[in-house]
Amino acid sequence: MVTPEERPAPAAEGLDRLVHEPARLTLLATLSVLDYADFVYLMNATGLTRGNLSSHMSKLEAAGYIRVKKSLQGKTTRTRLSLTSAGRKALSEYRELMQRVLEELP
Amino acid sequence: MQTALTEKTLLRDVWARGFLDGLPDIAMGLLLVNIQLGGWLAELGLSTGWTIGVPIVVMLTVLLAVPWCRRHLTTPRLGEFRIHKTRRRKLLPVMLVSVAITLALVGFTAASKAAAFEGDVPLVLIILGVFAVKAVVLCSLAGWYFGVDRLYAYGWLIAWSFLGSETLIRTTELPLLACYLLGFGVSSAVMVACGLVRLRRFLHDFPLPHDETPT
Repeated sequence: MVTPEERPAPAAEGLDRLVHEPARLTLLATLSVLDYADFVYLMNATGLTRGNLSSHMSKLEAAGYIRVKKSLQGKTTRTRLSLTSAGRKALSEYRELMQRVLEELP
Repeated sequence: MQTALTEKTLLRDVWARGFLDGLPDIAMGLLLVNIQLGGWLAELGLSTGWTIGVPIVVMLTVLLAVPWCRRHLTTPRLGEFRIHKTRRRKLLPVMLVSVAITLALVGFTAASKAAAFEGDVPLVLIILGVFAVKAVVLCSLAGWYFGVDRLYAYGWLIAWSFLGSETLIRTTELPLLACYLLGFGVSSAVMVACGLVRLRRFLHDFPLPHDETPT
């Protein structure tokens, strides 16, 4: 059972927890200014480790927020990520809601 | 990791990554010195074919080598990315300002032409002055937009190359070759050295990943 202390403020209830996590938010924000980026670029740009990035990538892909394309280049696999329209919408909605939450803070 | 997630910070970070490897610095330095290469070769007594051919070959080599190095050195280390088309379109106003500045300076040169023949200032100095102003303005604009501070300095170095060498030729007894070296040679050397230092640091900071396959 959720105690009153654990219950989020009314405005914060609608926050998308998938987007709210700092690493995923950084990942989505980085992808929002790009058409696409590969795995190596995102590792460098976000500072996430290979395992961390891979885990967040899977969650975002499962939610339909990012598109992942894998291709073979020589002997290595190149993974290219891009933001879907659903991902862009989720980020935009998160920003608007977060602004309202911050405005309502005491 | 980025310190702020504002669009401005994210975009500047992305643009600045294009200058991380030092290759643009090296290319700018080599192309700058290439402008006077024909003059140097003529001073050494080489024929017109050489004075025209060698700079063209050098220019083509630089223009082909940079994408090749990007493909084989930078991309595997830094990763591949493309800026979103709506953000790329934001470059349009900056490019329009650059074109407007160029047109204004061309107009200024044309207007000065008549005055130069009547006055004491030689036309060549006015034209070089226009080049110098344009270099400072455009490099500063690029430095501000891309968030790459050294581009401001490069603007002044290019301005010095044009105006400095010509002023040295007119006001000192130095041989022509020395004037070109002090003008174009010094600026170019600074840019190439800066680029090489950046390239070395880049190769050290961004080792080649074994395989980018996610775990």
